[in-house]
Amino acid sequence: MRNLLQSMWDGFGLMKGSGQFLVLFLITVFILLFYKKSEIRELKWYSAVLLLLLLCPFTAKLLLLYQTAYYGYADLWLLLPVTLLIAYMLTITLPVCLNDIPVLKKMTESGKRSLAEVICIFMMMVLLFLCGTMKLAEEKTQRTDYGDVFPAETEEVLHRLPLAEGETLTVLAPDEIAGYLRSCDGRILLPYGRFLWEEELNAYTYDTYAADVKEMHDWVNGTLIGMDEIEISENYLSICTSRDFHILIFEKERLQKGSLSEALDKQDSYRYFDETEHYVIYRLYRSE
Amino acid sequence: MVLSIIAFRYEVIMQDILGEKLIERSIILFGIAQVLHLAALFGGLSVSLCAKAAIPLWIAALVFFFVSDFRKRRQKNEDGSKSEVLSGIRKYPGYVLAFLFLVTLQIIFNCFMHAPLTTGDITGETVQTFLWEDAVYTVNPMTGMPFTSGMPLRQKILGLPFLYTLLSRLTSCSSAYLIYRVIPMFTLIFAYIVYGLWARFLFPKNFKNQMIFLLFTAFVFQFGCYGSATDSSLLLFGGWRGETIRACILLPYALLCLMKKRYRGVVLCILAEACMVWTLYGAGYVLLMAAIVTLIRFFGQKYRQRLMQKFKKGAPGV
Repeated sequence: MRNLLQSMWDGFGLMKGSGQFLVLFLITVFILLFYKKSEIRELKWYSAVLLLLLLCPFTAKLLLLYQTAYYGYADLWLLLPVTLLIAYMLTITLPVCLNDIPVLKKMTESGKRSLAEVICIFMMMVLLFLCGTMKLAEEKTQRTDYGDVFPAETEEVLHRLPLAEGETLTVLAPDEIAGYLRSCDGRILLPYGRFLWEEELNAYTYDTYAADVKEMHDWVNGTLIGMDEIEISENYLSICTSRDFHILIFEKERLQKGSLSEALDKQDSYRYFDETEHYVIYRLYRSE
Repeated sequence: MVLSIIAFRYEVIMQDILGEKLIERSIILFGIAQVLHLAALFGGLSVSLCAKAAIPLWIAALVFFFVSDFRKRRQKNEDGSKSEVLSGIRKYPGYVLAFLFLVTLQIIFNCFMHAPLTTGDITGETVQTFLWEDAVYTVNPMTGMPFTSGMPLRQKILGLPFLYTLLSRLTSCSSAYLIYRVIPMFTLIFAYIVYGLWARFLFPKNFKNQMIFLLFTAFVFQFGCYGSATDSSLLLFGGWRGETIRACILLPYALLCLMKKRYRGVVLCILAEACMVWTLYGAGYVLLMAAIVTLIRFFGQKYRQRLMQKFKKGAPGV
């Protein structure tokens, strides 16, 4: 029970985020239920009933079971017509504001109804802005140049890869690059999928990886314990050679630290191929 | 005179097209892609062959729609029910322009100038794999290597990545650009069309209120992306996903159809959700919504019947 309540609370937090639209929605449902005689009877009852079902732990658990427990509690809130009812409520509140707010009423009476409406809409827009946020865009995604799809650095790395017509290329790269590689080109093969670091993708495929693949992922991302030792990097470089990874990409900052670049200098399978501002690309060359 | 006739004709056609028919017919066109996907999955057909087959099938469907519309319009004998859209635009150009301006800004800044939010999504990888392999699910889309354990069948039968594959193959547009740029733009437009239908339902014959409602909808979408599980953030940062199409198009449209008792639309939405979103082995949100609304309607009717009976008993002479 405690776990259920905790997961509900977490899910509610995910849904609420830093915005207060749910509060607006609750006020809307409340007003529509008790104060507004409306033709949209079934819509408001649907919203109220679903709200109760989502807030009651037992029915919430049943709903979670209905969606086979893969999706979280927050996803269930998509069933509520939040956008619809808030927009509806604001629209029907507009004439009320024009009649009840003295300044706006005065303007309306003096023949400036359109201006009063515009001011009222602007005030409501400010209310929505204060209740919501535009931060998510900055936090979750990176800005790109117009016409580009992926972040500039990733696009640059992608354009520098030696992709030949009809041939595949196995690439080992840090997550921020590897995460976009297969979305960009089907010819690029990866030793492990994004679900190695994106847990929620695990359910998409049943594939699992051996411990050494996980260590390789940590090594290329610079998070492996003890990776500063030259032997470890030498060992992984020889594994990469034996597995025919055509391209290795490292962060430039990491190469400047020493041990990895020393290991790269000691072998001759991988040679410097190209670089961008933050990444260096190494290519596999066969000695035969 | 000629211009007004053309404008009126255009208006009637647009009213017909930019309505329920657009949504439902888009679902039917998607259904064709879904059938081809199943043929490729279970029949081993190649993607290029399916792309060749898709063109005549889609054209046939469009011709069928056109013919059925033409017949119905003739049967109606153009009843002349003038819509108020054109006169509304002339009367309130400010609201229309403000709404269009906001939508345009959303398209430019959110659909075209942000890196895609690919967390928890493998659509891009799947489409690239289909295109490169010219077959569906022969290798693991995440790596491009052979599967080691396999993939759930429920996941494999989803047709949305295949639709994007067909569109990419047929238009020669880069699949990444198509999925992460073009499709989100269409999803945004379709979402506004659905909310436009809601506006028409909530404020019939009141164009001004319809536009104000759409304006507020645009504001809610813009400022509402405060959590990663809201319809706004899905719409503005993950418009290609099945979850987004469900949250912003299918669910509001199905709810509208339920209010209007237009059950064909509800059934189409249930089927579309099953083919677009991985509901695992659950039955999806649209069906749940339909069940809840049906129950509310049923109990509402019972309640009204009881009230009527009480009223009749209490006032026998009335």
